[in-house]
Amino acid sequence: MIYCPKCGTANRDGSRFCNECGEELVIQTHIECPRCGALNPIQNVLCIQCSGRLLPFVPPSPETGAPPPIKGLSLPTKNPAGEQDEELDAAAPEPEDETPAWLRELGASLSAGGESEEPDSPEDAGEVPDWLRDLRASLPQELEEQAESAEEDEALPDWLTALEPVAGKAMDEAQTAEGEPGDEPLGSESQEDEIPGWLSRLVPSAAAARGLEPEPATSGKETPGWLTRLVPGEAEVGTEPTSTAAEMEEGEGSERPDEPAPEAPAEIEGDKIPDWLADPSAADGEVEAETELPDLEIDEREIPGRLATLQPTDEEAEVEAEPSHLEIDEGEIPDWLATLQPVDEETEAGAEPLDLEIEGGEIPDWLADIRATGGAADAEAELQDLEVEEGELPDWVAALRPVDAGAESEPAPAAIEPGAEQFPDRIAEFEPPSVDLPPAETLQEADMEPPGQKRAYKLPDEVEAALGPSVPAWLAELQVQAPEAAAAIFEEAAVDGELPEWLVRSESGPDEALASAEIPGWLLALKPPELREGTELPAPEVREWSEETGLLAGIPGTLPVEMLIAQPRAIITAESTDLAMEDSPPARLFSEIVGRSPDATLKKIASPKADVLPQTARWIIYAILIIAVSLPIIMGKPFVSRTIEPTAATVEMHRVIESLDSLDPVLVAFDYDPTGSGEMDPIASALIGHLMDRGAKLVVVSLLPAGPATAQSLLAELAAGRPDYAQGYGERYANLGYLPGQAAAVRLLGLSLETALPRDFYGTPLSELPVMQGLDSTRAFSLIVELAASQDTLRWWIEQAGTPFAIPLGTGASASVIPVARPYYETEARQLVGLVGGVPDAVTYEALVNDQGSATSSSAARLDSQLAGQLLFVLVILAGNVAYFSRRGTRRER
Amino acid sequence: MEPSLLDLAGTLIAAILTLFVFSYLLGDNALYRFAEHLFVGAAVGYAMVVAFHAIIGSKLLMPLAEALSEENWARVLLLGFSLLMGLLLLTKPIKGISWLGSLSVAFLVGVGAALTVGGAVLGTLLPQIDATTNVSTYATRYGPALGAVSGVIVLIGTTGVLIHFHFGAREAGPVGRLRAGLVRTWGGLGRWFILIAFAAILAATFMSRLSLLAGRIQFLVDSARGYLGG
Repeated sequence: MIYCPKCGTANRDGSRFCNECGEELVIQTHIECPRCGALNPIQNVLCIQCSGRLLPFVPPSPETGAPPPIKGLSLPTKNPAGEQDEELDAAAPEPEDETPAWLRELGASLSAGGESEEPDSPEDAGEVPDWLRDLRASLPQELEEQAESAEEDEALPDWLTALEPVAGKAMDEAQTAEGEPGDEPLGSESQEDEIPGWLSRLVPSAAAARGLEPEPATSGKETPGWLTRLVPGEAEVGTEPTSTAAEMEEGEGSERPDEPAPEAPAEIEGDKIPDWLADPSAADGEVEAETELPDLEIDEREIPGRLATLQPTDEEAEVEAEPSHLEIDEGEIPDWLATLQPVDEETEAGAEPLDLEIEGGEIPDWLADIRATGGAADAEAELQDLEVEEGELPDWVAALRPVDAGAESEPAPAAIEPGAEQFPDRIAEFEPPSVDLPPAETLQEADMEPPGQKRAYKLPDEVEAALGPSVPAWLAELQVQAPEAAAAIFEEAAVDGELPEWLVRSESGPDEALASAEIPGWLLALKPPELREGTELPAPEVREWSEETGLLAGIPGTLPVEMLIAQPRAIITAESTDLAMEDSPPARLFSEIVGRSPDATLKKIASPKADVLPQTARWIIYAILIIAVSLPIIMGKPFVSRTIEPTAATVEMHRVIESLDSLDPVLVAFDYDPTGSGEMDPIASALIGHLMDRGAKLVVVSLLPAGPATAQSLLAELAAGRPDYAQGYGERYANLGYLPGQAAAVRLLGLSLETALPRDFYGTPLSELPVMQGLDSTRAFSLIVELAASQDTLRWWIEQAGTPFAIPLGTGASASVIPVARPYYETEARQLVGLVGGVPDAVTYEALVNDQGSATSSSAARLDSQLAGQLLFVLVILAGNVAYFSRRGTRRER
Repeated sequence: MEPSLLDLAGTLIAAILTLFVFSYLLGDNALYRFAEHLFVGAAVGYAMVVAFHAIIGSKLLMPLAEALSEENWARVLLLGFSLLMGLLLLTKPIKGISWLGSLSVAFLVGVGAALTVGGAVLGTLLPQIDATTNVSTYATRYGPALGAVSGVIVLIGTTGVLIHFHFGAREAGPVGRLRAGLVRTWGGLGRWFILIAFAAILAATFMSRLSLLAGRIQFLVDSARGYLGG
């Protein structure tokens, strides 16, 4: 249906003009689907039939600029250059799928610190936003000191540095050995405040260790934590590469667990240089390792903090720690991994083993190996067993905890049994797949390669498949490398683009790298606009805060009631919608899918014939109906001669008229116009003809403007065949014309006929009409015959004339009025003395008048025409229902 | 009597316009629109002529002139008041003085509502209630058995329809549950009576429109026979 925009009338589909008001409907009333051709309402965006897009997508204009890049969940992200590279490398077969999303995000967050260069000062604007500094200024003095010390750890946020419990310390010590000025120690209390709770539990011993050793020296910057774990054995970060290289010659022995670890050089104190760092340099004593060593000296910025957390206790080898003992079945540890752990363990001969009740296969072996290596070198405190229920904590995380606990020199804290709610869902739900390790020989063959050779070590396919997304391929490769091989692979992977970009060394400057990487988009949205830099948003003037109300009103410098970030103005000015869209990869993917042009994505198929068939069927039905209705009329006689039984109401109507005496006045209300004459004329002819036959005086009125003309033509036709009426206008019958006023006029007619209708249809005063003599109101009439085409006029006559004045009222009504007229006939007092409804009743009434028991040929043909149409209608209804139910059954079967 | 040329022309035009209207069965087209516009225009013009001659002329201006000539001031006052009320209606489109037209509208609505409500109560509501409750009437008209059945059906159906249109909050307690059950069962039965009544009205309307179609076809056939001499 098409609804007229002017009057709201529902028009048939395909209409060009409104049926009610004639308003042109040429406005685009439908949108043709480019895919299936179906017509859709103009307000639709998607096709109602095929769900194809109807409107072409308008891509965003270039002025709007590129959408903001997807940023990680954690604070720092990549620099813009890195993001561009990421976009360029998107087409390349970069194995993004190999790295879990959360791992990439976490890595991206940490890589910002790793990729950035060391800033000139701790207060560099690129790493600590001003607004955050302002917030910190409001903190107590202790916290401020802690924040300052945290700023000195330039690359990583403080809470991330806390994840490097021991590795960071080792690197600090290394820097101390290099003679760099030490910074203020990072207080353990402040660290506890800054570390998320769930993370602090992962490193319970780290904070305690810092508490015991309040001088962590300088922050570790040059020793990559994740590389330290690749070093098989104790290492010593020397200031001279030669010494390291000399020690690396002995690194071969470190791959044999049974051999004792070489001692660290005497000139380097044990608490400054991790022994395990000295070991690979001694073990791998190759000359070329010296040249590769600078490559291995990767800044801390390149160290993922999450990896740094995995090397907890190596640098504390000098402490008389009892090495942990890991109960791992044989065969779970690859040989190449087994070679990485013995030095620490044997260095600390008196260390007590760490008992871990961990089922085989729950921990990736390479992680278990790392843990064992580090944990063995840790503090001598008693280590306790971990009984972590399965599912509460990822096993690999649980496996890390006792290692950290072993770093404590004091009694270990109570057993931690964190619930799942204490960890982020992604960690709590993460369960690394069980690893079915291949035979040890398989890996040993890989280890048989020369140590310095650059080749890609690959785990067997079944191992990689078992590791799944938990261990990226690049990480798995690094695990099997000797340090120099790992460095080579690192460089090669960086060149080939296989390495995640956050591991690639940044070429940009520190400010550029940190400027956009410090604050993710969602956090930037919360930043007060007045504190934003000029490149982001026009920063309004920053006015000094002053209290406006209360006792401190007018005093500047007071603390605001709410923090700046909590004030709604910042939220209002933020482009939260765009950020929300672009921060979510699914949302961006959805945007891309929706934004595709329909021509590019949808095939143009042939327009279905769905609209043609119903139209054809409709035409067929029309044709059959016209033929069925026309045929009896054309033939002029009924198909079957039959006797028609009149209804009781019709008989009553006939009886009432038959009981009239000659010259009894009868008021005939001609309440139909030419639009209803096709149905009402037979009824009116039957009733008025009968009245004329009875010699009644007929006075005709009409409540419709066009009614009197219709009545006059019929009266003239009927009077022509009756001599008493042929020349008797005004004598035997009169047409008083249009009676305006509807119900009120009918009521008035019962009071004063001349007041209501002073003149007849031709303008003749009623007093001049002989037929009107003695008729001053409707109460003077013996009968009122209402020829009703609508129920309204019938009700007016019943309510305003027949019932109030107790005037006998009969009706010849349209078939559509019968349901309304019938109850008035059923009343005890007979509000309707008779009822002739529709053409069938008219035909039967005619038969009653003729006393022949059957209608005339023309009336019978008309009745046959009516019955044929009704029969066809019944058949169409049945066929439609059968088709509907059969189709519905077919759909159910589908 | 031989039909005049005007009658023949009129019949021919009417037949052609009828075909134009029937062409709408094939879709919206200019012929149908032409016939439609012609019909609307002729109807409006005819209504205006009738309104002037049957109302303004014969019931207002001419009686007013007669009253003035007869110096029947009471009638002049009555007709003058009617004329004034009619003129005030013309002020409705004028923004500043449209409130004047509200007087006439208020008078018309008030009189019309009073007549309608009074007529509905006395002419429809009370008689129909009496007919519904007086079951003996049916027995008198249709015999004891059929009349009793008819009376019971009418009573149950009428009450059910009234219950179906019950709107109220659900109440707790036995009375509330009883009422809810009554509404659900008896009201549901009344809903079926409503559906049957609507179906009967739809069928009757179809019969009416089918009669109109047959009447138009008969007109065309008779016209053709008249021209062809059949």
